[in-house]
Parts: sequence; structure tokens; C-alpha cells
Amino acid sequence: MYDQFHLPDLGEGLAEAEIVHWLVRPGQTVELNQPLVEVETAKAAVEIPSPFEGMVHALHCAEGDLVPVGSALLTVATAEAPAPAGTGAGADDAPPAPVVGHAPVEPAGGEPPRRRPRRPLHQPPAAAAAPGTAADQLLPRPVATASAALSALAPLVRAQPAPALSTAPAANGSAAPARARALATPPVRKLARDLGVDLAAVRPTGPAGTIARADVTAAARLGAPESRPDAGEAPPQRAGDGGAELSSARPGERIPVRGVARQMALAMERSAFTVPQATVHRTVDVTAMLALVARWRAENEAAARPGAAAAPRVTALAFIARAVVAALAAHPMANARWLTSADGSSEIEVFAAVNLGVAVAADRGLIVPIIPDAGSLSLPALAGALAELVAEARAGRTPPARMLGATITVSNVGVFGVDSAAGLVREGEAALVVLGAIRETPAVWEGQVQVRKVMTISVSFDHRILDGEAAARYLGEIAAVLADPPRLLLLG
Amino acid sequence: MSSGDSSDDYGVRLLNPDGSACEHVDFLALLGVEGLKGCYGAMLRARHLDEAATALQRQGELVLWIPLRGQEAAQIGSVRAASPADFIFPSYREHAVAWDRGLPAVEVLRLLRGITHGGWDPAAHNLANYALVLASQTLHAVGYALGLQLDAQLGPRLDAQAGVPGGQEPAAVLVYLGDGAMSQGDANEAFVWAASFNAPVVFFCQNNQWAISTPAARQSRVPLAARAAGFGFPGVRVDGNDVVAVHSVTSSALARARVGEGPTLIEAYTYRMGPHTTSDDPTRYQPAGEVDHWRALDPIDRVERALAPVCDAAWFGEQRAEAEAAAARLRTETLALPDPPPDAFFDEVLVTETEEARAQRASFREYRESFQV
Repeated sequence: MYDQFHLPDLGEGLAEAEIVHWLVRPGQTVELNQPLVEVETAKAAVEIPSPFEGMVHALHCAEGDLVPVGSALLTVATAEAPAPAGTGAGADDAPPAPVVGHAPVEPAGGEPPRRRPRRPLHQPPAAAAAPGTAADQLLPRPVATASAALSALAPLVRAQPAPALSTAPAANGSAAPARARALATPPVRKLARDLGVDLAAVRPTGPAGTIARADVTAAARLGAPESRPDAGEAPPQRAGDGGAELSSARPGERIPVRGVARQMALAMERSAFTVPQATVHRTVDVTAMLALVARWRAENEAAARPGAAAAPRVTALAFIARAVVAALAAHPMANARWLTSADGSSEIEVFAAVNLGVAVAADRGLIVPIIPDAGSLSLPALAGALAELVAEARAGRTPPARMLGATITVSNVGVFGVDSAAGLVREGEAALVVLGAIRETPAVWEGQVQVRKVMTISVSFDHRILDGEAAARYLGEIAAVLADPPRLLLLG
Repeated sequence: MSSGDSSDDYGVRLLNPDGSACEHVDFLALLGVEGLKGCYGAMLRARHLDEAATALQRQGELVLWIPLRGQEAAQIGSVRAASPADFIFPSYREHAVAWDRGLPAVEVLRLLRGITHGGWDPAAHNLANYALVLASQTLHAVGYALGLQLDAQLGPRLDAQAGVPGGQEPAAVLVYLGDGAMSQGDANEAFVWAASFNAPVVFFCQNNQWAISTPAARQSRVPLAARAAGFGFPGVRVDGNDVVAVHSVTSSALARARVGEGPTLIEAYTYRMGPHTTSDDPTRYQPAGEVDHWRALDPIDRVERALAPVCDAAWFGEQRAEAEAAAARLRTETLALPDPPPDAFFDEVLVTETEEARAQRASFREYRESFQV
């Protein structure tokens, strides 16, 4: 007989746990209450003791898996198991398919337990099979722009959809008026769910306009879609509403979300749903700035002596970062955060220093290491700090302390060929500066159309701290410096 | 050790950690060898039952468990000082108290399996239900103690009126609370009230050093026992891992209470050798080495060392076998616990069902049945 053990809710309402370490192997004999596996929940890391005595038949999840409560953890062949002759075993006795395990019919000392090859964390299986990292696969090689040196910089954004692709519902006159939620008792709702009937499509005959049991069964016989008053609208498929069970489509692969990717997902979710935010964009002619940077580079190379340490190279991104930081002196509210107390009162904290967060696409996901007190750094020092930060992030050596405490963040999506993007402001910050690609574009220059190098800079902002005008002024200050680099002397 | 208000003051101690008696006391004269053997068996059983319950929670059979590991001496020493007539108000970790009072082990687990709102008949063992609201039981206890006072004053007259024989045994109230509950308003009100009326109550505070993750030192600038002086009654710190000392101190406090000398606060200085509950991860806040420090002061090991000269290996083996058997029984009984019928709460609120309640029960049943297709 085979007993399967399912992950219990270990802490009053937990949904999932991560398999940290298996303490048993298939084929091993376990005693009652012998520790089986170490798991980590949102509350605690705990060892789960065995509820059965017997031989471990199979482990159903691998170390590192994030498994929902109720998932099968392992199967144990308990003492009453039939002789492993493989004959006459009823269907009920058939062992569940193992993820990690061995068949009970194997004689002792036969095939050793096989383990599923471990997949690197945070990587979808398709990418895992291909050489190189997922990030390598996804990143187009940037065009040779001045910011190519920082090609690892990644988006902290959702790209703006092109108008043609807009999925906003059409506001045509025939749209159905909003319907009130259908009235039905919980037992009737459950019946409807079991039968796959959409209550909104059922004609109520019960008291006070409620849907009766008979209404649901009648609708189920007729087929709910035909009875929908507004057949033009697709029937809703809500998670957990029975739609999934009814669907005959093969389920897609589910990819666990863990580690850096999970942190990013949660941070973005908080940003999207707790920070009222908006974005302003501005296109700026950076030809002069790029010429200046190129000149400095040439001079730097000419002055370099063999054996001497090279001075940090001032890149376009370093120059832009310096402008972003220096412009904060006149626009301190862009370097601030919104605080809400337990009693519901609110405050804005204006940071005393600028910790510049820089979004970087590292192999393990999007991270935002910081340059502490970036406001105190000269342009070369800032350039050096940026180069170091990117090298560290790419090598996966960013110390944890350097991942916290950003007061404003820069994200360079231009390396992906994106022109502009409305990013999500990170929780605890007032603004996110997104840099688009630098392109050669026909532009009006001193009254004539010329080919110029232009880019779009976007500032997403927490609308509780900054309004559109304040954000536009801050963005304007940055743009003015990039268009006319000597203006940097007027800042800070 | 880095927590606790004064790390080296364990309070009254009669049995040293190495099992030897403190020189000035003949501990065996206070409890007796048989008494100490009984305490050992009860503590060992409590530890095994506690471990079995923790495992059941990890296996999904209990919603939650509140481990008592490390506090066996504080609980067994104190409950064994109470007479059957004394009334006990536990907090929520006093499983050893409940079990030693005669409550079947599985009864405590019903609450934590989520199949009862209370658990047991408080009158059956003079043991109130668990109080999950911190320190609320201290007020219940003082109220009960005031009732005992009234009984003592009015009892003979009422007994005569009712024509029943009087002469009830004098009783006191023993109420358990933790170091965290000492910071609650309810506890402090209870102290004031108990002092005002000289109530026959013993406040037994198990200072296990951690109020979930808050160290006792942060909650009090003075030893907790010293707070009693401010309320006007005696406070005593006792080594909570010394079952002999706990028994002795609690016996004397209950004796005072029964003869009208009023309340006492006992601070049993002990240690929670596990998580606050199974939902807690103490490794996140306990300083390294603290558990090891207290493991050397384990309450059961101490008695085992003390009994080694007078008990043989066979006796110890018997004790372990009995404790293991009790744990196995607890497991079987827990897994066999039936879920209560959905309308069980109609049976447990009103002694006599009213017409209204009857109608509600019928309506509820009808509603339930409407789920059947």
C-alpha cells in the first residue's frame, strides 16, 4: 500500500513552502516522526516529520521548488504494501508517478535512484536548454551608441503600447450597461460553479430577484452561452471559478517564481497597486553632449601612459546620471518618499542625500544596486562608480547592502532599442528616470533640418509627492543640461 | 546569556543543575523520593506528548501547536502543589498542567485541531479552558477568587438554607500567565483588584524569557517578581527549571492564600526551548548560544541526575516506555477525533434550547441541506 503525504499548511494560512533540503532518499526506510524534509515558509524554516513508517517510494518535488499547500511531497510504501511482484496489484495500489524515485519492482541494489537534473533557478526551461543565459538570449546587441558600455542596464518598465495595439475597451454606444451582481445564495453559487454556469447569464425566478437552484439547472441544460443577453462579450474565465476544470486545453508549463525574480515581481506589484503614478516624456537633442563625451574619451586615451592606472572613462550614461543627480538640488521633492503612519496620517520625507539606484539586468534577474551619496561625487568619480557597479552586478557580486536604500532610480531601456517607456516608480522613491535609445534623427537645428542625435527621457513620478508641473520642471532641468552640457556648471 | 533582567539570578533553588541538593536544604524531605519520582514521570510524559503534538502539527493534523518544551518543571511543580479543590486558570501553554490535572491528553489537542471552541468542562477538573486573549484569565481568576471568599463567608449560611452539609475544604486559585502577559493591562488590573480584596489567588508567571520575539529584559527593568511589591503583595522568583523549588514555593503561596493571607506573585524563571508556536521561527531572534546555555539547565535532566542514586536503569526505562506509549496513544486518538457536526454549536451555548434557537437550528439545517444536489 502506498501512502502519499501532502504539504500541510504549516503556519495558519500559508499558501506555499519552498523545499530546502530532502533528508531522505527513495528506497530509504523511515520511521514515524523521522524528519523527512526541511521546508521554508514565509514564517519559518521547519523540518517535517514523517506521518508514516515504511520505505520512501518517491519524492514528488525537488529542492528549490516552491510548492503550494496540498501538493504531494512524497510517497511512502507502508508496512502493508503488497509483495513487489507486480502481479495482482489493484489500480488503487498503483504507485503515483514519481518525480524522483525508483520503481518498487526493482530488486534491491538495482538501478540507483535517479534525480531530475537541476535546472538553474529563475530560468525558464526553454532557455535552460540553450547555451548562454536567458538574459543573453533576450538582449539584442545594442547598436553602437555612447551608452553601449552599459548594455547590461535593463528596463524597470512596462513598454508603452503602440496606439494600434491598444486593448482598451471600445467606448461604442452599444456597450452593455453595467449589470448588478447576480443575487444567489452560496449553495446556488456553488451549484453554478460545479455546473459551469455563469450566474450573470441566468434569469432569476427566486424571491426578491434571486437565482434559484432550478434556474441554474435550467441554464445548464440550455447551455449558458446562448442565454447570455450580450453574446458579443466573451464569457468570463475567472481563476478558481471552474473555468480551468472545464477547459480541455492542455495546461501550459508553470514556471516557479523565486529569488530575485520574485522580489522584483512583488516590488512591482506593490508599486503598481499602492503608488498613484504618472509619467512625463521629453525628447532632447544630445548631439553636443555626445561630442563632448567623445572628445574627453579621445583626450583620455591620448593622455594615458603605459603602466599608469587609466582615469575612469566618462560615458554618456555617466554624464546623464550626473545631470539627473545634480538637477535634484533645485528639485528636492524628486528625491523623497511617501510615508503613511499606522494612524493613516501621511508625511513626505525629503532625503538628505542622493542614493542613485541603477537598474541592471543581471543573470539572476533585474536588480537595482545603488551608488551611495551620488550627489557628492564629481563626474569622473560618478563614472567610476557606475562602471564598478555594473561590473559587480554582471559578475553577481553586488553586496546585499548595495541593493537597498535607493532614493531615486535610473533605468536605461535604450540599450534594448526602446525609445521611451513609462516605468513603475519603486516603492519608497518619488521618481524613476527612464532613458530611451539615442538615435540619429532629422531634427530642426538652428532653423534647419539636420541629422541630429536625439533621445527621449521619461520621468515617472509618485503623484502624491510631485505633480505634473513639478515633474516636468525636473525633467526640463535634466533635458536642458543634456542639450547644453555647460549648463551642468549651473546646477548643484 | 543575553536576555533576562539579571542573568545570574535564577531565584529560589533547591536542586542544582547537576542534580545535587542545595546544601542548606534536604529537598527529599520536602517532596519525598516518591514525590520526586512522580514529578519525573509527569515531566517526561509531558515532553513526549508535546513532541508528538508538534509532529502532528507539522503533518497537518493540528492547525497550530504551542510547545512547552523546557517549562515542564514550572508546570508540573506548580500544578502538583494545588489541591483538587483549588481552581486553576491556565493561559494557553499549560498542557502539562492540564494533563497532570487529569485531563485526557487528546482533549487539549481538540482546540488546536480546530474542532472545538473551548475544549473541556472546567468543573470536571477545576481547570478553566485556555485563554487565548493574553492575560484575560488573570481577571477571571481574581473574580473566581472573590467568589471563593464570598463562599467562605456566606457558604455555611447558604448551605444551611439549602439543607446541604457544609464545611467545604478551603480553596485557592492558581492562575498562569507569561512574561509577555505581565505587560498587559488586564494583568495589572488583576493585581490591583487581588490586592484590594486580599483575594486567595496565586499568580504563577512563567518567565520563559521571550514574549514571542520580545526579550523579557525589554519588558521589565526590574525582575518581574519585584513588581508585586508595588501592588502590595509578596513576589518570589523561583528557579523554574527546578521542580522541587517550584513545588515548594507554590505550595507555600497556595497555603497562604487558603488561610486568607492574600495573593502572591511567583515568577518561575525558565526558558522556552522551542518556538513560541509552530508558526514561529525563534532562530530569527534568539542569540546564538542561548539555547545551549539553557539546555544545560534542562529541568528533566536535573531530576534524572538527582534520582540516579536511588533509581535503577530499569525504572528509568519504564518511565520512558510509559511516556512513549502515551505519545503513541495521543497520536492515534488525535487522528481518530471526529469532526463536530456543523450544528454542534447549538448544543454548546444554551443549557435549555429556546424556541428561537430551535427555529434557528431548523433553518440552519435546511440551509445546509440545500447544498445537496
